[in-house]
Order: sequence, then C-alpha cells, then structure tokens
Amino acid sequence: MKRLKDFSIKTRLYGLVVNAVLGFTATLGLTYWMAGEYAVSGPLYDRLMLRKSVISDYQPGPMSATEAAFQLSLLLVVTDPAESRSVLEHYRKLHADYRERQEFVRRDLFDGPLKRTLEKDVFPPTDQFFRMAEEEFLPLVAKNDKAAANQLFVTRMRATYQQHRQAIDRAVEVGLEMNATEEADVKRKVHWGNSTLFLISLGTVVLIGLSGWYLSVTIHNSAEVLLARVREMASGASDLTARVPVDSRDEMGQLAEGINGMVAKIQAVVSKVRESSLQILSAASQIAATARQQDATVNGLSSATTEVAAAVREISATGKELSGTMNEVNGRANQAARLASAGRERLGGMEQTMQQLVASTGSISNKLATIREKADSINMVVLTITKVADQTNLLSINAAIEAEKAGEFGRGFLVVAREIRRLADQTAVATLDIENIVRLMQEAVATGVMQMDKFSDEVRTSVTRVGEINTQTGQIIAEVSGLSDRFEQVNEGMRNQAVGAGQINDAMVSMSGDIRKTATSLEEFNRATAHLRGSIELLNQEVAQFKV
Amino acid sequence: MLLLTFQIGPEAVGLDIRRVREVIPRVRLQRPTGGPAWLAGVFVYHGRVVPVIDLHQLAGHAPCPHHLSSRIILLPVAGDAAGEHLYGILAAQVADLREVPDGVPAMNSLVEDGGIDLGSTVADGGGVLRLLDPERMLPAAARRQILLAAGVPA
Repeated sequence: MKRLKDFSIKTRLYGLVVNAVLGFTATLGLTYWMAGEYAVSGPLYDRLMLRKSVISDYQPGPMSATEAAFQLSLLLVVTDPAESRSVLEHYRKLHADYRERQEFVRRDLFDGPLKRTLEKDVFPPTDQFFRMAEEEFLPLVAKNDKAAANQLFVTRMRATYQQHRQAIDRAVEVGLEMNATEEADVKRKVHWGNSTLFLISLGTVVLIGLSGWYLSVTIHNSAEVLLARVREMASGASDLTARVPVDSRDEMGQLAEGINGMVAKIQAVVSKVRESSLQILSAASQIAATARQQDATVNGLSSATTEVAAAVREISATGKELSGTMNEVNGRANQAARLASAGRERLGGMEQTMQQLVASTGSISNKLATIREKADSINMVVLTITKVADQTNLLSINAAIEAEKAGEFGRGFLVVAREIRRLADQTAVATLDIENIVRLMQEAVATGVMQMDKFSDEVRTSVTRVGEINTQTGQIIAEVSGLSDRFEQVNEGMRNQAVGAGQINDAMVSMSGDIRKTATSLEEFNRATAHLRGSIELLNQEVAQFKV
Repeated sequence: MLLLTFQIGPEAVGLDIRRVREVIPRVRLQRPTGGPAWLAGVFVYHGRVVPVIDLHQLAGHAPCPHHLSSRIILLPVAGDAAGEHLYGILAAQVADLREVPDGVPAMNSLVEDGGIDLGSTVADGGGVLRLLDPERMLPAAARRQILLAAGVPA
C-alpha cells in the first residue's frame, strides 16, 4: 500500500491543482444548473404558478363581492327559516372575510399602481355595496318584505355591484401588467447574473490552474537543484567551491543559503584537515629524522660509556696518589702549627712591653702638665713684678714733677727720681725677658704634650694590632689543627670515591646493555613512524578528492 | 727744660712738666652719653668731675691702646687763675722724662684750620719731638667745650 508521504512533492502539488480545478468546475456547473432550474420563470416557478392559478380559479376571492351577492340573492328565494339562517350566516362570514382581507391589503401591500387602483376604484363601490346590504337590504328581508328587497337588489345594489366588477377587472389588468413587467426584468437580470458568474468562474478556474501549475513548477525546480547539489555532496568527491544559486527569499531560498553555509563550513573543515595532514606529514618526517639522529646518538652514547669506564679507572688511580700527597701536606701543616705557636708566645711578650710603654707615656704626660702649671705660676709672679715696676715708674715721674715744682730744692731729688725710673725700666726689661723664656717653655711643653698624646695613641693602636695578630695567629693554629681532621675526612672521601668509581663502572656496564635495548626500541619506533607516514599519505589522498 | 715724653699715634710728643699737675694711672672712665668721639670720659678727682680727652682720637688715630704705660696727664684749665679746674689728656708710653736745653731751634707746626696742633718740632737725638703746647693744642670748639664742662666762663 502506497502512503501519501511516499508520493513526490511534484505529484502532490499537481494532484492538488487538478483537484481544485475539477472541484471548482463541478461546483460551478451545479450552481449554474440550479440557477436555471429555480429561477423566476424557470420550470419549477412555472409549475408552482400554474398550480396557484388553477386553485385561485376555483376559489372565489374574498375581495370579490360575487359570493356575497349570490348569498343575498338566495335570501330572496329561500323560504325555510333554518336554511335562511344558514345563508345569512355564510354571508356574515364572507363580509368578515372581506373586511379582514381589505385590512391586509391596506396594511401589507406595497405602494404601487395596484394599491392605488384598489384604493381608488375597487374599495369604494364594494364598501358601498356591503353598506347597502347591511343598512337597507337585510332590514327589508328581516321584515320579510321581499318585494321591496328584490326591488332594491335588482336596481341600486346591482348597479353598485356592476361598478365593483368593472373596477376589479381594471385592477386585475393593472396587476397582471405589473407582473409581466417584473418577470421580464427579473429574467434579464438573471440572465446577466448567470453570464457574469460563468465568466468569473471560468477566469478563476483558469487562474487557479495557472498559478498552481507555476507554483508547483517553481518549487519542483528549486527542490531539483538543491537535491542535485545534496546528491552530489553525498556521492563523495565534489567541488566544495561551488554554491547553489540563490534567487529568492522564500523558504527554498533560505534552504539553499543553509546548504551553502553548510558547504562553506565543510570546505573550511576540509581545508583545515588538509593543512593539518600536511603539517602532520612534515612532523612525521621530522620525527623520522630525529629518530635517525637518536640512533646515531645512542651509538655515540655506547662508545662514550666505554670511555667513561676508562676515565673512572683513571680517577680511581689518581685518587690513590692524591691520598699519599694529602698525608704529606698534613705533616707540613702540623709543622706550620708548631711554628705559629712559638710566634704567638713571642707576641705575648711584645704586648706586655707595649703595655709598660703606655704606662710610661702616661706618667710623662702628667709631668708635662705639672711643668705647664709651674710656668703659669712664674707668669703670675712676672705680672706682679711688672706692675710693681710700672708703679715705680709712675711714682718717679710724679716725684720729678714735684721736684721740678720745688725748684732748686728739688734738684737732688730729681736725680733720685731719675735713678728710680732707670731701675724700674731695667726691671721691666728683665721681666720681659723672663716672660719670653717662659712663653717659649710653655710652647715647648705644649708641643711635647701633643707629641706624647700622639705617641700614646700610636702605642695604643699598636697594642690593639698586636692583640689582633695574636688572635689571628691563634685562629691559624686552630685551623691548622683542624686540618688534620679534614685531611682524614678527605682520605675517607677518597676511599669512598674509589668505591663510587667501582659502582660507576658497574653502572656503565649495565647502561651499555640498556643502550642496546634502546637501539632496538628506536628501530621499532622508526617502523612505527614509517607506518604513521603511510597513514597520513592515505589521509592526504582522501582529502585531495575535495576541491577547496 | 724737663719734658714729660709720650706717644700720640706714631709721633713722639714732649710736654713741659711744669705745666703738669699730676700723672695718674688710667682709671675707669665714664663716657657721657651724646659726648664727642675724642672725649674718653669723665672721672672724679679729689671730689671734682674731670673730663679726659683721648688725644689719639682727637688726632685722627685709633683709640689709645690699653697698656700699663697708657696714663692720664692732669693739666690745669688755662684761664683759671685759681687753678682749681683740671682736665686730663689720655696718651700712650707716658713713662719717661727728658732734659731739653732751652732755646733749641724749633720748626713751627704746619696745621690746617680746625686740626689739632701738637706744637713745634725739635730735633731729639736721631728723631724728632713735638713740643706740645696745651694752650694751642685743642681746636677752638673743643677748648670751648672743655671750658664749659669745667664750669669756667669763656
């Protein structure tokens, strides 16, 4: 059983168009047929109208006074009171029917020539007739004055009835004429309507068919193009630079853009894959080259190992020699320590001498200070003498003045005053000399003190230095004593080194074995690299199928 | 003639000792506020205020040096008949007397108007000696001030 989904879109679209055209055509035909069948003056209408016409032919119209006039005339001839009552009853009913119908016409009939004719020509004589019957004829019949009644009926009522009949005929004519006119009008309109309907329907059918066909062809073509592109892609080897032309913005256009985007992404990916595979290929080549180099290196390592083993043996021998040399050095160091100890003792004596020198310098300084004090005392004495000499000088001058004033009596005293002044002058000169000598002495003492201070400082510095040298010598002795232990340590190290060298030798032997294993591994690695290269070349061939 | 010799600046000066009342040590002087620069100050001598002139300053030299031989020479004010009013002159090296024969040839001093007149110049051994005349020594203005200070009517 074939399902609807299994049909192609093309088949489905064409089926839809054909169905639409056929359905529409069928609907149109039916409508056209119905319009002809049930139109005014159509077959059905004609049948109905004919039937109604026949019925109305048989039924007396309530608007006509014919039946009423007949019943009134019957009243003139019947004698049986019961029958007379029955006839009168019938008349009353006819009269009532007339009134009702008249009301209906006045109320419901649309304005037009017919209504105007009825109002103007038909209703007045009819009303007149019924009024005469009610007001004149029936009272006469009730009084049983049939002769007068007959007279009335034949003369005035008959005339009125005649008027009534003629008016009805005219009204019927008017009504028929109106009907004929309207029928012709309707017929014309219906004919025009049918023609228009046919034309519009025909146009619509043609339009639906054409647009449906165009739509189907468009979708079908777009789908064909996309399908072809997708099939091409699915088949494998393909041009990835090609793009589906996009000439519309509808769903098909968007689908085409989507496929284009997808192809562009695939193109980018394939480009990357191609680049990467090329890079991997070069990397594989490099790996192969490196592996070859490693091979060479391993071979070199093997020979180097042998050399190392030889070198280790040499080291071992040299270590033994060094050990002997060390012992010799140790002996010399001990001798140096002894010499240093002797030197240290002599330095101790020198330090003591220095300390004594410092003490002596201090006492000299004190003595110099005493001398300076004495010199100051001498200065004081000299100042006093100077003052005394000055006073003496002044005294002699004033004495001379007084002697001069005394005239001749003062001559002798003047000479004395001169002698006193000369003594004072000599004293002043002597004190000046003393002053100079004392000043020189003070200067000498000051210089001596300064030099003593300087000397004292230097001696103190020397003492400090001797102390430092002493300490350093002590350190040297300690270091040299410590050297013995260290030499022992070195000897121990040498022995350890010899053991280590043996171990290195063993390690070298085992390393040679490892290197041989490594060489084997490298060969395997080379094979694997070659395999990798083959795989990458295959990948490259695959990628090369795509044009990017 | 016996002269009292002393120094005023670089010049050796002699003064007839008969004109001198007394030579005293350089006592503490009190400088009167507003006084002239050559007035070394005043001091009390025998209950009397005595003005002292610094001849070095008056002669246009540095003030008199503070030596033991820098002394004050007391002179009577000229024109005071009673000789009660004194004034002092401050000079350096006031320490010697010298005998000069009377009538020794002298050269008159060469003094500008308003300058101090240290007197005529005489030969003395190898050098020269000015013979100071207290009457002519002071310029007119200074003398007037001294007289006023001493309370002597001019």
